[in-house]
Amino acid sequence: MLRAAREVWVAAVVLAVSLFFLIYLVLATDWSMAVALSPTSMPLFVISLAVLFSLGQLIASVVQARNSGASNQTDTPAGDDASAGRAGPDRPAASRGIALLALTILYLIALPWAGYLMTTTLYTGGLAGLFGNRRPLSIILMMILVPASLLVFFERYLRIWLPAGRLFQ
Amino acid sequence: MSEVLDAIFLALQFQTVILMVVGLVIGIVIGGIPGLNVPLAVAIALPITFYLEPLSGIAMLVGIYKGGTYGGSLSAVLINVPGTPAAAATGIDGHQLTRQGKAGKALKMSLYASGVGALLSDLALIFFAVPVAVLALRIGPAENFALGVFALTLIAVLSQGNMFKGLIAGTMGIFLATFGLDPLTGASRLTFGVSQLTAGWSFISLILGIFAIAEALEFVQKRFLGPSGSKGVKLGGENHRLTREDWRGSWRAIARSAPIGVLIGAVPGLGSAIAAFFSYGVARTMSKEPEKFGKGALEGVAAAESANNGVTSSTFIPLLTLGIPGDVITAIMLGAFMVHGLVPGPSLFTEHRGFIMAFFVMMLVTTILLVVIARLGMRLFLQTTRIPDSILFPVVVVLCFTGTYVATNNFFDLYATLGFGVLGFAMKKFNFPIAPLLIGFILGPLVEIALRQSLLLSRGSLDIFVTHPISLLFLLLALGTIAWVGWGEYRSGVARRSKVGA
Repeated sequence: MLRAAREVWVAAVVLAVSLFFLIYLVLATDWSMAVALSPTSMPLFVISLAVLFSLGQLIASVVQARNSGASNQTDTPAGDDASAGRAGPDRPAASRGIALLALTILYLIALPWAGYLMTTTLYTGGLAGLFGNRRPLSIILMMILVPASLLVFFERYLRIWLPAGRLFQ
Repeated sequence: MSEVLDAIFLALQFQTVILMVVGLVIGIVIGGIPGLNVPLAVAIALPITFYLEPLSGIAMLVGIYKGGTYGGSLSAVLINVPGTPAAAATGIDGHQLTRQGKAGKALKMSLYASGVGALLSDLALIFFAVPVAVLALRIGPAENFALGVFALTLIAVLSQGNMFKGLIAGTMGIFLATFGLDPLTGASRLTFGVSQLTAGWSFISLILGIFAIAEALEFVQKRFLGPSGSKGVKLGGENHRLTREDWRGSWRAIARSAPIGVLIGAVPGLGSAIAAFFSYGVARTMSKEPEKFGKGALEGVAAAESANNGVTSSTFIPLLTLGIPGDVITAIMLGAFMVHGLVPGPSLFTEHRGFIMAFFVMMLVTTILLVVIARLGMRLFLQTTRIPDSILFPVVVVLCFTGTYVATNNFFDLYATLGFGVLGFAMKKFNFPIAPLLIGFILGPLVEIALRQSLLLSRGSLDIFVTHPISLLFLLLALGTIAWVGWGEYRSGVARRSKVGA
């Protein structure tokens, strides 16, 4: 039941996003232009299809949710759904995902300022901790080897310059 | 004759061979590590190939592809955790053999069957690509449009259980490709005032985000399992050696399964997992001892692996001749071809004849090298299944952002990579297939140009798509596929409901 309800929500969000772009494109289109020449004709056609398909997905998931709801009412004891609801999402797991996103955003903000070597060294250490590495020696080795080897490979061998950092220029 | 010699010389250049070897080693290692996958490895290597000679760069990617396709069987046989989805079929009997103390037999049969499958696939590519390209030369923009629509429909509806989700992902991919400058008039569209979007979304950001970052986001949320690895495996001794009886029991399975893999590889949207499981099923049905399957049948390993690797070159037939990528990996390869100014399609065979011939030779050489390297380094490659994920994933994530910056020299694209990572993670979480999005993104501009050129030729009339027989055929096939798969999904839904109601 919970999964079916989640599917309905996902379909609704996809439909809402598609509708937003459809409305934006309808307003942005110069309707006096020939279809073949108008730059918005292709995006408009594609997003119309996306609206159609997401509507189909929404209807299919609503039907599925109804059926699973009906079968739950007739077949399963009342406690089942409640216990499923109690299980909920794994909070530490979700927080690790959010921590990875936050760490990456910090890295991307710091990269133009502090440069590749310094930010990537710290980022590698942070990532190692986040992915469950609990051995300090291994983390320190990764912090040194990963950014340094990439810097040498790209700058020395391929002559592609990585960000030096505005603070050091 | 001199053209063939030139092609051999070009394919056997020192840099190309070295990069083939590097690609194969990376592929086998990545394929052997559960959690990492071949598209991810190809995507990470892609930015590096931009700075190499076209054939060398593509040779490295092909090496990763072929090596990874084989490498998936290592962890499947040893620890019953397939490195690739296709290797799951290999693991059914391969791991049983490991439990019986016959890991060496399973691993060696898996390697040789892979070699035969890949070799047959190379030959199919060499002999069938040119005739298909000659036929493809006769098609115009209307047929191109219809073909693009058909390929995309096929990939969208066959890639996962839910047809609507596949179609949504496909249209999402084409839509993302329409951001930036209009390919015909040069007018900007969907840029929302962001100057970096004028060039559209970066292909490399999409690839790395949707595969590697999404994979990392998914992995970091799982409980830590520690080193995934196996204990040391010994490959010496009678039990690990392939005997004449083993070959007698397996060669029929290989002879049947390799062509199945080749055929399935040539159809866009099916892929190696389907080839492996289908061939495994056929081998079991036709075996003299079907009761042994699932309990350690060497035939099962041979069938699954030869079909799985039979896909690797034939999947290039639609890519090279029609510009249609059959799966995610060939979609990434299409990007690599285009970056080097090689636009797949029939014209590639006339304008870059030398390159195509060298490419064919390179495919053959890669297969031979795969068997040699994998056999010589088997003991070493087995150690890859013991590398902890806590070391691998940080390296992968850092490589992604470094690779994006190296390819685009743009900080905006780093944020785009992260954004696509979140999108890929959400798609995986809610069971939207990734392949249609990626292939839609790549085919989008080609389909758009074909559509608008057709409309210009017909002065805005849509009749052009139904008056051209080939175009009509592909459009009918696309509609037929949707109707067929849709009806199948509807029927299975009705059956499920009636089962619940009973």
